[in-house]
Amino acid sequence: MRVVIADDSVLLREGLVSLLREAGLEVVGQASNADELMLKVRSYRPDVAIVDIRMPPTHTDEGLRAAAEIRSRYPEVGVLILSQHVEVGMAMRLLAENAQGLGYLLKDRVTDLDDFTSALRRIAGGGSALDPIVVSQLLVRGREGDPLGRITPREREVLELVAEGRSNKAIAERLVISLRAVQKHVTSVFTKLDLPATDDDHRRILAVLAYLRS
Amino acid sequence: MSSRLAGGGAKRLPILLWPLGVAAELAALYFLIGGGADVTAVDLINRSVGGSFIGCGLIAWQLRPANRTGRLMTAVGFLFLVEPLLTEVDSSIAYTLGQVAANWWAIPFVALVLGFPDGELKSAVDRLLVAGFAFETVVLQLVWIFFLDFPEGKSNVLLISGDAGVADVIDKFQLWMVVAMALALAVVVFERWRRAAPPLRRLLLPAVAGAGTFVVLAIQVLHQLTVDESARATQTALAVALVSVPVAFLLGLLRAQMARGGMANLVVELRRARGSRRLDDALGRALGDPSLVVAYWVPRFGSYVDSDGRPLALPSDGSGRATTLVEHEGRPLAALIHDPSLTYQPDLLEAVCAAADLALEQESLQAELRARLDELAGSRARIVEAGDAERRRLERNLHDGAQQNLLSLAFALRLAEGRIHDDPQAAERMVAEVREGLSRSLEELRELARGIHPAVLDHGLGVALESLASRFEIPVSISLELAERLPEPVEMAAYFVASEALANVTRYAHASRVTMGVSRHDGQALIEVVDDGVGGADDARGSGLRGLADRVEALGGRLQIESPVGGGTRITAEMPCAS
Repeated sequence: MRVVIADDSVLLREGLVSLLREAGLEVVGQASNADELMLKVRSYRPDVAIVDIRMPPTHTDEGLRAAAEIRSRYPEVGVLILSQHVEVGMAMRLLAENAQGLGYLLKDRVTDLDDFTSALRRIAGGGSALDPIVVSQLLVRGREGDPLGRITPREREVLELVAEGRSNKAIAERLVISLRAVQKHVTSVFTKLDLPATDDDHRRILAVLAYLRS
Repeated sequence: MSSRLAGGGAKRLPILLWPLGVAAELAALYFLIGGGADVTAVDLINRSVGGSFIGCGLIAWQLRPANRTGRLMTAVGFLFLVEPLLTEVDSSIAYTLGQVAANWWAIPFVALVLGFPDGELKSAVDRLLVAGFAFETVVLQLVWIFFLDFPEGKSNVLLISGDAGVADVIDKFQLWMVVAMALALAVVVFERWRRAAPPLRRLLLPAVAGAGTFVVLAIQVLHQLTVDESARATQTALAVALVSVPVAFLLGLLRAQMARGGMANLVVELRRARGSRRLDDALGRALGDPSLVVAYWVPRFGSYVDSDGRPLALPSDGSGRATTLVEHEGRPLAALIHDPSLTYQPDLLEAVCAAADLALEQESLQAELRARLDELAGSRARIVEAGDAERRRLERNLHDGAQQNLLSLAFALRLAEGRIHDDPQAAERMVAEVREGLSRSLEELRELARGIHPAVLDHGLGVALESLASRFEIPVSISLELAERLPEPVEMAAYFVASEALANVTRYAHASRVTMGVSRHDGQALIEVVDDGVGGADDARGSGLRGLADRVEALGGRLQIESPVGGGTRITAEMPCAS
């Protein structure tokens, strides 16, 4: 898999590159600001562009704007937005319209190389990756009479992994249970939450997020 | 007091002038009717002009002795009668004098119109016009008479040489001059009326009427110059105007007098006028100027503020607004900013200011209070802003510093983890690097924490200042004269004063040494930081010093910066601390 990395901190970028190469990924380009990033994406057409949210000159949301531009101009390029902190509001803004080929993760997640590369693969394949912290924050906001209260702990685990953007197969591997068991839990959760059943991972994450934010 | 006494003496003069004026007018009428010729209505009206001016003038003089208007009107009246009376005396000298003084009445009349309502000339143009009329009626008239042959039966005692040609040239010149000056006067008066605030315009109406007679005069003279004969219509109009103008002036004066009746209302309103704007409105109504604004003097700020406590600049000359300063026991209290036409009624202004004295003083204290509240709100807002900016700075420091370092260490540790089996030596080297990196991150976090709250203050201000000085590259000597510890907020403020002052020394001062002193006496803690650098610092130079001032003032203290260019900088903070 070919990736481009944009981060204005040389220290972090070098660390990221070493780790990703260790994991067998091909880092085809590095950028320290949004303009360089656009140039590298245009030239190399990577599978995924890994983008730091804060970049020069204002260190606020340059990365976000670059990510939006990549998604509109090069829809085949997946975008993974990395940040030193993740916010529910930001995740909603990012994923609400179109979660396809998009990820939003804490930078710390890189150290779990297997999980990180599987997230990158999902994004490259048009799937999504949402940081577990965001998902758990969304789930914490329980309300009175919330159907969430009626789901079992196992179902909750499955729901979290669905919200992170994982496929049934990935969930089965992760929880070390059979694919049929995962399908059963998913169906049960979706029924309890009164969500439309779908096999499409992308539609599934949107439905769950829409439910959680409502 | 001297003007009062003079006023008292002058009071008897108009009474003495009454019989003289009546006698003069009656004599003039008697000569007209007994003259034998046909007497027209216009002749009668013309002959009454003097009496009208004298009568109205004397009444005005008695009612408003301090106002010159009455005296000017009386003078116009008597001078108007000089020519008709002197020409009746059977003497060449008297006749000649009568001709010489025939138009002198125009001088006080011009001054009257331009000076209304207080009788004072307002500008250089006014004075120039009066001088112009004086030149024409006195000097040119005399020169003309030097060359003029009187009609038959009268001899000119001043005749130098009878030369009809020369006399005619001088006469024409005189007449053109009258036309020009009469029109100029009308323009001046009309402009003054147009610029006055609408409520004050009615006050100037008599002056406009007076200016109108000058326009009629100019038309008549123009007609005479072009057609070479007097027009009947303008003669009548001029006569009627001249007779009625003094009445208009008298009524105008009485109306101004009645405006003082508004004073009674003012006193009642002043009792009720509490809260901002009300006093402005009450004074505005009493003076007939709704645009009036009161500016209160705040000694603490050395500037004027409006009734809401907002800073207010007094209008400059030529801005179209006038200012009247109000003092109380010799110190400035307030300033009234008003329409310039109000200055035509100085005694009314004075009376209103005197009546409002107490209310102004009360309201002035209120305005000062509001101004100080504004200042306080500003300082609070700055403290909040400074706090927010500080948080943003801290977040950025953490994000770009410690957080990033720790992340990259985590990455490095993950790399080392992958090598433990294949390349244990490399892994060991990498772990050692991570450990060093962790030490650096810890030091960075300590530095950051010190900026948030200097933990060293727990061990006392002396220890804190010592460690502050030890991190400073220029030698710092510290003298601490404290028997016991200062209250915590004061210690904290003192520490930040020292810290910010040292930071400023590093940034700007180019100093070679610094002295810091902390002492306490009379319930006041004093911290002083003195350097021998280039000076020229002021609190406009950075938010740092302004922020310090806010911090010190929040504790009820004062921050002073003395920094003459080339003379080093002395920053002194004085804060109350109950012992």
